[in-house]
Amino acid sequence: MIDLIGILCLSLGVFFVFTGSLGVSRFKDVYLRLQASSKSITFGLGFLMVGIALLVSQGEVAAKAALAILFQFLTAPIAAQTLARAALVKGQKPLTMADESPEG
Amino acid sequence: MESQLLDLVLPWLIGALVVCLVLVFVRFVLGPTQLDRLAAFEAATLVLLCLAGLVGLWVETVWFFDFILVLSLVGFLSTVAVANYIEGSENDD
Repeated sequence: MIDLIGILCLSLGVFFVFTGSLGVSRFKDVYLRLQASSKSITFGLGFLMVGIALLVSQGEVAAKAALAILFQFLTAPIAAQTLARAALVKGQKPLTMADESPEG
Repeated sequence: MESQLLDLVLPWLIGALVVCLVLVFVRFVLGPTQLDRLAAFEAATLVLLCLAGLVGLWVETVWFFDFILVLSLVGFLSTVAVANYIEGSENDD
């Protein structure tokens, strides 16, 4: 039963990673691509780590999976925000926002 | 029973992640600016983390989690460093 839930988590994670990669490949703007990368792929990575921890079912692996999820969820917004600020400073306009001056 | 199901499902999941890596790499090649390429690089790092987890599950080892932790750290630091470098650089592309 736990194996079945783990396989379900793995499939959901791969689905979210696939949609995120499709967004990174197909979206029209740097900011949209950053959103696909930092939200969808990170969410899929979390599902994958939960699935792997359920399937392996060792305490050490579960602790390391929790650490990987925590670290990724902490650092993905910081990296995306740094990239978006660099894009805004370099003068790329977002598609839906007309006039925004870059600050900070 | 469930282990047989896992053996049945896992190659398809790994193949789907390889397709994801190809999609991200398409953006890495096409991307008009350096920041597009950097965003694609960060996405490729994340997809590679997922791929490392699934391949570690496939060959039934445990050491891949150290690889995942170190790769996530290195990917985050390199992304932030290169983004700050591009933000401070002079040329507009």
